[in-house]
Amino acid sequence: MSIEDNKVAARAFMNATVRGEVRDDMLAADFVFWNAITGELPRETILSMPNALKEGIKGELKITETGITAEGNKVAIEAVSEAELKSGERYGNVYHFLFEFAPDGRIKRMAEHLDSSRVMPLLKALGLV
Amino acid sequence: MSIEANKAAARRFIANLPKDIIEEDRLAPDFTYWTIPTGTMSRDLLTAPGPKMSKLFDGPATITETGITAEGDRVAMEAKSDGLLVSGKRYSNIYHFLFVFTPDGLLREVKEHMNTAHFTETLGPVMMADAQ
Repeated sequence: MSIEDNKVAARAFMNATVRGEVRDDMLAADFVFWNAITGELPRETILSMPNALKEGIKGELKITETGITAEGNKVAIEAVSEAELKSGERYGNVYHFLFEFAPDGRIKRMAEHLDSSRVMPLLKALGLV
Repeated sequence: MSIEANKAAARRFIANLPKDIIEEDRLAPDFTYWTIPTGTMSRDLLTAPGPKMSKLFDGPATITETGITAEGDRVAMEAKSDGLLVSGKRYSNIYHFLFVFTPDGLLREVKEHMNTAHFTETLGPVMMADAQ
């Protein structure tokens, strides 16, 4: 797949996670998610994330891309998010995601680099910690 | 400059950073350095004389590249650091840096995305104590 195809797929996945529209065929069989707090999570956890997000968040987590860098099978996306948790607490974060793609265009690895000191209320709401 | 030249410049910057070596002639006049805990720091702050990082560590600290993605004037670099702080705690952070270059290859912007929770537990208190 081309760099531009990978950018489109990375953006689609990022938006699908917050809308509860992640499809099984977006992820490679050995897909792994990582962030500094949760460590590595398998694809099953990520596929069930949208339901957890609906449980923990009032309305929708709004995620906005602020920059993109792509080369070979990798796409790095800068982004910011904003949401209101069911608890009434405001949640927002700053990201520098990295997506790595398999040759068939599916996502093999997603590393969510974010402000880990701010993420605990959301991870608790999602039951991930 | 080429993508490969920008990658080389980003690698050089990272190798020099823990040693307090800042090559001023490779920075754009409007250079900024951003991290979540510090916010945006100016060129003047980064190039002020005197040690900044090395004095916070007991012995050498290192930053090692673990992945790189470059396009146009941008270089995104995954990396990890390791060093023993003067407090006795180990600082081993995980990064996804972003470097932005000018068309003539000067470094305009560095964004240091890292595990802020680890920073708060380890390097943060050492920096605060040093600033007092």
